[in-house]
Amino acid sequence: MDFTFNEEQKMVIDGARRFAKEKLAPFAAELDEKAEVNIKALKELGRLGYLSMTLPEEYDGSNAGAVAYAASMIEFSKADAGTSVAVSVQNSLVNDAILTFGTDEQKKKFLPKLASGEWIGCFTLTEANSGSDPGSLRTSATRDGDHFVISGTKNFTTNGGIADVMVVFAQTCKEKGSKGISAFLLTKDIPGFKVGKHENKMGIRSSSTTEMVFDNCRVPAASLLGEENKGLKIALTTLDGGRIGIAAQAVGIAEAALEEAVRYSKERVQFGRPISELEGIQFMIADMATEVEVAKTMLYRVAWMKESHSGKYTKEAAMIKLYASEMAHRVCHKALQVHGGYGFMKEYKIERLYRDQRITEIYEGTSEIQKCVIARSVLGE
Amino acid sequence: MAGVLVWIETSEGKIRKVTREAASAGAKLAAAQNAPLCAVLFNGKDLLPELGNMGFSKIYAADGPAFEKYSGEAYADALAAAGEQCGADVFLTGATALGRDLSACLAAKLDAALAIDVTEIKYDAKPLTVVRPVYSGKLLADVELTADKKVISLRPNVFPVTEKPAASPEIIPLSAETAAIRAQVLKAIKAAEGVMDVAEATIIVSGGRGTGGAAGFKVIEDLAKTLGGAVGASRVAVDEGWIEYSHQVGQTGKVVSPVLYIACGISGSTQHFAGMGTSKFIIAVNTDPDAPIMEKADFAIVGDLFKVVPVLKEELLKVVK
Amino acid sequence: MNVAVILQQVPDTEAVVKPNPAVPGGIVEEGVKFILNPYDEFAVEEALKITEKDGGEVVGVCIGPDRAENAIRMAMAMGMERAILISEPAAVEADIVTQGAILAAALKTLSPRLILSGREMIDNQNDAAAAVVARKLGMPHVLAASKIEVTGDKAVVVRDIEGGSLEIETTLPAAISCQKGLNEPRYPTLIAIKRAKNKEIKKMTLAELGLTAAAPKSRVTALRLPQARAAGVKITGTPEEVTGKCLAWLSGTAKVI
Repeated sequence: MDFTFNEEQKMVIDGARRFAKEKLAPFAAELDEKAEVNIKALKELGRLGYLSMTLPEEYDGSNAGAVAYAASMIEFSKADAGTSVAVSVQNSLVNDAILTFGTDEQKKKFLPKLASGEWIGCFTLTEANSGSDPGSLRTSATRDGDHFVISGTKNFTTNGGIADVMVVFAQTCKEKGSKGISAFLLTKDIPGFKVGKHENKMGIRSSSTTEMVFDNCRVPAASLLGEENKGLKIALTTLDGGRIGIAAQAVGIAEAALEEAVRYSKERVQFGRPISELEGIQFMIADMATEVEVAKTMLYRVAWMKESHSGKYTKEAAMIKLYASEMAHRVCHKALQVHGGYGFMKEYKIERLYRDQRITEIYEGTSEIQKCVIARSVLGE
Repeated sequence: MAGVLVWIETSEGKIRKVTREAASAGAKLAAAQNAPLCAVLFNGKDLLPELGNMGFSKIYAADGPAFEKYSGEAYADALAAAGEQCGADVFLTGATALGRDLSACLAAKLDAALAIDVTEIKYDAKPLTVVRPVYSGKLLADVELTADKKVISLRPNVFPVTEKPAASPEIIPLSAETAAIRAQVLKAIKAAEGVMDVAEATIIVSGGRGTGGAAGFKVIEDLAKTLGGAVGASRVAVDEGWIEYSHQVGQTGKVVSPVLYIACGISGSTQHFAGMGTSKFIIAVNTDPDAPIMEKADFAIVGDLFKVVPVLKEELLKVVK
Repeated sequence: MNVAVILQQVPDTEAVVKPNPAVPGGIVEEGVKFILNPYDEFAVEEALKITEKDGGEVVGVCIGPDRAENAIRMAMAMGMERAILISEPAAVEADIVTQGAILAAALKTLSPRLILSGREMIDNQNDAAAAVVARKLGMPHVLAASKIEVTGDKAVVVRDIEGGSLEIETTLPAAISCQKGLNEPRYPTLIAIKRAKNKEIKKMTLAELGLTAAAPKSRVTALRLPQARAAGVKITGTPEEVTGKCLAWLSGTAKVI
């Protein structure tokens, strides 16, 4: 077993850390306040290769691997979790879905532009009445010769407002329920499509989350991603990888919260000494540091499983998504507690981290869904 | 033979303060060695009367068009020639931009020991030993200068100036052969009128994140002007584009040692401290009583800089008048 | 024609640096992250810009222990093509002037049109390298450049001095040290990081450079922590109150006014 990064991975991660410090962190609080996307940084990340970390070089990917990707995601998330989720969606959901299920033609057309950041992608599955249960999708794609006509409204789509490319899930065979879902790979300029409501969120406010409205969008059958009615498999397989990104995001938020707590506890003087000398604070710091470390170690193992193609990692991805997101909840809670009343104020970073953390327990599968996935696997169903 | 040779650095026709500091340190060193203290002055005949009380026994006056503008090559050649004549083994300059340039050229030419930005000289140590900050001021290094010839640049505002009795040093015209100057100064560009450089100022008023923007520097500038000091800035303020880089104090900016450093809205990171930690007195104004600077300042004011600094300026105006 | 850059590996600016009691003049390296000297990035960036415009390669020279290879790889990820590393202890531990002579000998083998360095190495605060190298190679130099314009066999350089700057015209080849503000160093792309792995780092010994280890001209006998500043007084109050107390302190204790 070797738990060290190689020199190349170290440079990739150092680059991510530096970018996060110089190009994300200084703007994060303001963009959170204004609910604006750091699109300039996102495009620059594409140019540098951070939006194509698991794409092969033949599609202009940087192919740095899932481990370096997870570690880079931690760095971006420490600075600005809103930008980091956009990075995660592009890498784990859009690129991976196209790479795994796309035709040669689709790969050649879409991947290089997604790799360079020229195009931003989104993955739109959720609907108002279909969250954890994809079988209840109402957006329909009706065959009409060699075309499909897509109608319906998606919501809570990450990157919705900034996306050029969409992976869209729709019912192609209503009777079959979840077995009648198909995936489509579309550009946003198709007639009849428009971006709907921009959500006003509690956290990760520097990410774009919108409705996606499809009003009788006529698209060629060649826009199908993978086979007709095989969309659920695409969604579930892709979400396995996505969970690595979200788990990394949670670890990053938790690590940032820990660092804030450490710094504050050393600076804050009460009863004539820094509060870091109080056992009550020390115990919280010890708990936080331990949990962050445990999550990080497992995260890298799951990323390594993906990178080394050493088999299915559905259970492990669900486990780390579940553990890392809930761990981040506990760590942010304690870190804010260390700050006392100041932690409740917007002037302190912990206030934002506390809000940003919350979604990690919900999106790309709630904690409860992760438990279902894990239980199913453990019980051998 | 032994001796100490000092470069008289001038700026706009005036002798720089650091030159007086170097002369005083040089005098102590010469006394410890029982050796003469000499100086080299370029194109500065009218300054000669001012050099009488600095303890020099000989002043080498190098005049002519070759020395009209600074050239590391030509100046180093001249200092080496003067050193040869007076038998100097220690050469002193201020650790100013040009002093650092000249000391490097001279040390390379003489294959000498080079000590840059020295803050302490152990006058009696053998071999001669100096102290200089390293690792951005996080550590101090004791450096033994073992080569026969030693070139030392001294950090401004660190060495005390001690006047010597008035005397008439011998003036020796210096005609050094200089090669053609290949790096030619075309012109000097002055910073905006009234802008004093932090590296030389004895009082610095500095602004950081707390100034909130370029406009926030107005109160900093006003106080600096009242005190006859320079305006400094933290890295954050410079990176945000609120003020020019030339004002930056800290690890990646300028290292300063003023008598008084007033830090306004600066938290006091290790990197900032690396640039101003050797200031004689530090005043900090910050809304956060727990900011690191507040634990290191001699006088820490918990308060809003926009409220405190203008009042401080008004009251100081009365005192100054 | 090639542009050569002098590189140095230094502790990260955020590193806690402590004297190593076992090594006089050395620091405790355990737990310290080493990086490419931040000012060197301006030099590498400028060299890349010049060669992108005029052709030629960016090459590097570095004195440092084996771990300095990582700093060179960083420069290579930015776009440097090849480099020489001199890692013999006699070179690594040499004084500033001797190191300048060693760098000069290595640079000579690369016959560069221009030599660039960072304004200062942030470990031993050596800002003399470009000047010493230039003297040893008999070429002109300019330190602390905030602007460099190369045209043909000349360069016009703006160099910072107290209270302003000097515009200097120099013939080439020349050695120029680079100040912050000269440019904005690029971030390496991930593809470039991958390629950097395979670029050539040639290790050279003093003997190969035709040099013999000389007696040190100076040596660091001890490193120590500066005396910590004791906390002073901390006051709160209305602006008028604190100003009154501050003035009393300025004239009474500090005697500044």
